[in-house]
Amino acid sequence: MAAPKLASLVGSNRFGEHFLRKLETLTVVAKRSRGGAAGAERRGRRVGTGIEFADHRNYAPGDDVRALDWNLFARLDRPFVRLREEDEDLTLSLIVDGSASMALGTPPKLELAVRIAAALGYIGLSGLDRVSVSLVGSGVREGLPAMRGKGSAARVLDLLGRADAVGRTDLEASVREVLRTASATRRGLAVLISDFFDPAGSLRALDRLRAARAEVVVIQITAPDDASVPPDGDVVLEDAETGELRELTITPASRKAYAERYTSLLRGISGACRERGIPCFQIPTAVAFEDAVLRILRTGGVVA
Amino acid sequence: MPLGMALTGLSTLTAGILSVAGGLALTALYLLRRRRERLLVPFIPLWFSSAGGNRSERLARRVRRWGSLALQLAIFAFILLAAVDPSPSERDAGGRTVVVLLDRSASMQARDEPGTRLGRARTLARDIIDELGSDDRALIASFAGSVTAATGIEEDRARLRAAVDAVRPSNEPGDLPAALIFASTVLSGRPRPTLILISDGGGGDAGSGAGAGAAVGADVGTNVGPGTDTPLLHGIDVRFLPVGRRRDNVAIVAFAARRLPADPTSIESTLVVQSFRTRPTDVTVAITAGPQRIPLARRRLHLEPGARIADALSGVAVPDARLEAVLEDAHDDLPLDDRAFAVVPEPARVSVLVVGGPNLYLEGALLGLGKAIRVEHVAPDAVEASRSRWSDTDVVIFDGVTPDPAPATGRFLYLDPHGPANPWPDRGAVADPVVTDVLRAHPLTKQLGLTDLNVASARRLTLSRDDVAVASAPGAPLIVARTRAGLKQVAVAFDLRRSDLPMRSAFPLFLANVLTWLANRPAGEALSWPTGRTVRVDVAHLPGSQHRGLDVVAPDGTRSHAPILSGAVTVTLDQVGFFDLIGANGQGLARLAANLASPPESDLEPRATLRVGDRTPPPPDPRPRQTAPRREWWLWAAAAALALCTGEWLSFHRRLTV
Repeated sequence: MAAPKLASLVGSNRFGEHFLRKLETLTVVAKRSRGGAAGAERRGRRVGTGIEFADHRNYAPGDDVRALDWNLFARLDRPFVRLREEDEDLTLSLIVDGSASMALGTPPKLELAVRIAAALGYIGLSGLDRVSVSLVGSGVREGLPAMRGKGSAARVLDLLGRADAVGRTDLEASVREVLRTASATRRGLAVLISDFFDPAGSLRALDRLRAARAEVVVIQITAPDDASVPPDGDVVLEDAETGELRELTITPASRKAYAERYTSLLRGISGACRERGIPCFQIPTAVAFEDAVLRILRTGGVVA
Repeated sequence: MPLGMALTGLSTLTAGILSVAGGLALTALYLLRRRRERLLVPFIPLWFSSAGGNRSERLARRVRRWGSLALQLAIFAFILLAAVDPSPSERDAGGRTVVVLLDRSASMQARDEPGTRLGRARTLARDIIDELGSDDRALIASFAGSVTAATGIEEDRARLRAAVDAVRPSNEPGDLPAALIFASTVLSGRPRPTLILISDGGGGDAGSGAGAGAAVGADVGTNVGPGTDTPLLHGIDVRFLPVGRRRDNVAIVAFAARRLPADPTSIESTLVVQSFRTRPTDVTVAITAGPQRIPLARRRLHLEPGARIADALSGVAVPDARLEAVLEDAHDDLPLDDRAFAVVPEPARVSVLVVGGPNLYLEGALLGLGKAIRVEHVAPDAVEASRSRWSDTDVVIFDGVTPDPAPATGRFLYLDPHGPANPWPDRGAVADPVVTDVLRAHPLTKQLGLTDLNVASARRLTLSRDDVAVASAPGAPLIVARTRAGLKQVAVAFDLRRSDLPMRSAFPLFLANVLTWLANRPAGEALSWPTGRTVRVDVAHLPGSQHRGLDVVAPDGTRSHAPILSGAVTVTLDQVGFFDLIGANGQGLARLAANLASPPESDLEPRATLRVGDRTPPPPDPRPRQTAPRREWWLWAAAAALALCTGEWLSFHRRLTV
């Protein structure tokens, strides 16, 4: 399928021509970062029979003695086998939180989320990666199976362009459903884009992804409105997702407590990711999406 | 209220109504205020610590919420408590309500006490204030021609003393009945009402007050309170503190003057002097005129104890209308009534319309009367044309003219009446009549001599029963006076030019007598009144009175403005001396004189007792019952309300309450 012209990707959704031009620019940057290799250019970190050295591990009975690293054995007086990388094409799974909480913020967090997802997806397709997109809430609301080639970009942009923020958040259930529908033979990179306001806890979702042997990247979208507290007074809080109503008197004490809990939430996400070796990007809505994408590309290992 | 407490502020019913209404209003306003802003948040659990803590938080919120309402209701309750002003019943029953009534009438200026009687009264009043119990409340009032309350009913001793010190003497006689009615009204319904009257017992029914003829020593006023069937001073403890030590006074009790009609430049005056001493006394009275005090007369009078002498002064030419009479050597206790003042009014101008031909004799005689008359002439052929003016003219003189028909009302002088419309049909003529009868007592012949009058010929007039022959010859009345309802007429039965009457000096006097009698003007009574009166002065006819008001200058020089209503001003004569009415252009328009002229007030006999109704009030008790200091509970309640307000403000701003 021939690469679609840029103009044909401009539809009635939120991605205008200006946005698409930026995608092209980001794609160029991403290619330069990867050295311009063609074909299945993404190197997986799976250990296999490739030529490139990957890593060492302890010798276990039954291992091929030809894989022993004799130099290391001489130095450490312990046997280690040498591991080698195996080249394969990567599946990029974009999981975008489309729950109601993503509609809050100025601009709404969903806008930044879908732009980042669109950029990563377009870059991936341009790099001949397989890209799947899932719009989730309490489950998968809408999704696209893994596709390859730039010709699939229109479908990706179309889905993300129509995305709206409704319903509740259950990232674990959403991830479970994503993994069930994905090919069990395809492992790859899972990018989870959300505000992580998940009552059931979003960490179990990350663990599921890791258990599925996927490389996980977490992109937490934050909004200044989420951290701000209105002036002192009597208010009725309404949960954007559940509609629950709770009365509250905002006082300096309650204001301070909320700030602490919010900070604790952010730190909790970043700390949990760090513990799990998961790159975590906490990106406020004030940041331009292209800056966010570049940062992710350069430091997140999305592009090697 | 709890037992033993009384409400001295709001009544129980009012407090109950206010408490219910206020509580409902506060609660309703509070409930309305509880509407909260709705806020959409992404994740409610972030706002609350834990599920278990939410229950305690909800409880705390509920406590804060209703705690605020409770605070506001408590503040309202304390404010209401302050308003009802509770006080222990026992203690409140011990407090008296005292009216201290000081007499400041003219007699209180007598100098038989240290300073004056009023000074002594002030000292006694201050002693009363100092002896008031801690629960007593008092009002200071004074009276002369009217009653003045100097304070409200209060406990502030300093203010009460200041009010006593501010009482000033008056030149008016005292109106004690009006003062007692005032005190009775003030004390009605008050706890332990007490009236303390400090007076010399003088005065009586003077002044502009009601004064039902109350004289000292008799019932004061009626025995019924104003507008009710309750006896005056019913249930009121009345006490009397007398002042005054001796009876030593000689007074001018009357002074009046008037212009002589025949000689407007001269006056006659009457002066009455009375002795209120207990011994014979000789005094010199001097009458002067004008601000330069030009002496007019000086007399030495001898008075027995209590005697009254009237002295007359007549035919004295006065250069100024202001007269003053002075007892030069009275040396008595009350100088106020040693002087008296009188204003001699301007002579009344009589308007005269002469209908007839030229008559130099008549014109000359009328001219001789000067400014006292205003003369207009009408020719005989215009007699009918002038008929419409006759009713507006004081006197119409028909000189040789007899209008037909004769007027039925008015005031007319007929000189030689004749013709078919003659009010006195003539029965022919009489030649050379000799005046044989003259009514000396008649006003027309006052100071006249007519017996040798020469008359060439006179008409024989027919008299009616309304006629009086003032001067007559045998069978022929020569001068006739007629009086009927609305009609006064004088007829001279002869032609003046056919007699020697015009050549006599009696002729102008005769004309003056005729004009005076026909015009019926007051004989120039003096414009003098007793002090305390409020008089109405007609100023419509005075030049410069077309403005809306006049200035009144009192004897002490103070100036006040009096509006002109319906062509008159009202002036209160509260001082002895001259009151001048000044027009807008600064011109003096009128002058009034005021004198004490009150024998009861001038009689300084000290009264040891005073009868009020059917009782004789005793002096106040020297030491009233002492009670414990009264606690002002309302202050504490108000302070508590203020403290709660402050606390509620602080708690609201710290969001401890909502």
